[in-house]
Amino acid sequence: MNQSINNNPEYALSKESVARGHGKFPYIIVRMHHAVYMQMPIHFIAEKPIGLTGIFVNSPIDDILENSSYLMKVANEYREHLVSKKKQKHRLCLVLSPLQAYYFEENEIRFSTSIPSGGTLVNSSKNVIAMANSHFISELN
Amino acid sequence: MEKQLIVRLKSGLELTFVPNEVSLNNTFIPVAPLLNENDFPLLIHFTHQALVTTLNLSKVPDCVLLHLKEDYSPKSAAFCFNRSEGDFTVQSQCKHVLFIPSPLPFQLSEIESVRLSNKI
Repeated sequence: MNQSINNNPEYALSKESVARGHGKFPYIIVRMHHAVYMQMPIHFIAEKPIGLTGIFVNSPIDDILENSSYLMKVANEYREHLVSKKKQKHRLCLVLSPLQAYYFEENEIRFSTSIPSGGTLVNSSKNVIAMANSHFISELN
Repeated sequence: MEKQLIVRLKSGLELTFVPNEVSLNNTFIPVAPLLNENDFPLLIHFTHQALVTTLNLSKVPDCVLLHLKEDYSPKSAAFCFNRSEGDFTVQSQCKHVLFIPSPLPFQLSEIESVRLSNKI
């Protein structure tokens, strides 16, 4: 799930995309097609704020470690949602930090220190939000 | 041949870790230099005959230590979160310790088993 990146700021995540939750860990990357990836940010919140997109997990606790312990469950449930509701069997990856990713392959979930990057990044509405760039904003994470 | 450690959760999910391995005969081990040379996950094997190994975790990135018995089944765990300059050590009574970066996307209590697999 890696394509070469050139970090051209013209094609990096925009402020608008970041404001909607993109570019911040943790998130799920879904491989839509070759070199086309969809980013689903994961938010642990007590109330859904206006303007954020992605997967929302109801959590009154503001503790990263406590909330993170549910991420595997969240990612697996999202994968099952893609398979059952949308009849899509895409490969996906749970990304926790610049050096932590869990790849959901066909028969295994594999940890890697190499996270997906590059390619064409789209949001859940299939709009392009970045191209040939990192999928995260480094100064925020 | 690829050595894998497979962590099975109670939910049925199996997570595969392909660790970098180091075998050491010392009973006192500075871990930070090992992680400078090897990426996570790191599996350290202790080849000495002493009962306890002291691991110096000073300056080690946030991670979780899984203490594994000889058959790689989990015995206990420790958290490593360095927030100051002071020295920080833990002791292990096990023959293997697996270092996984934090945060863990699952709860330690969800671990059902850990097994070793050699995949061609």
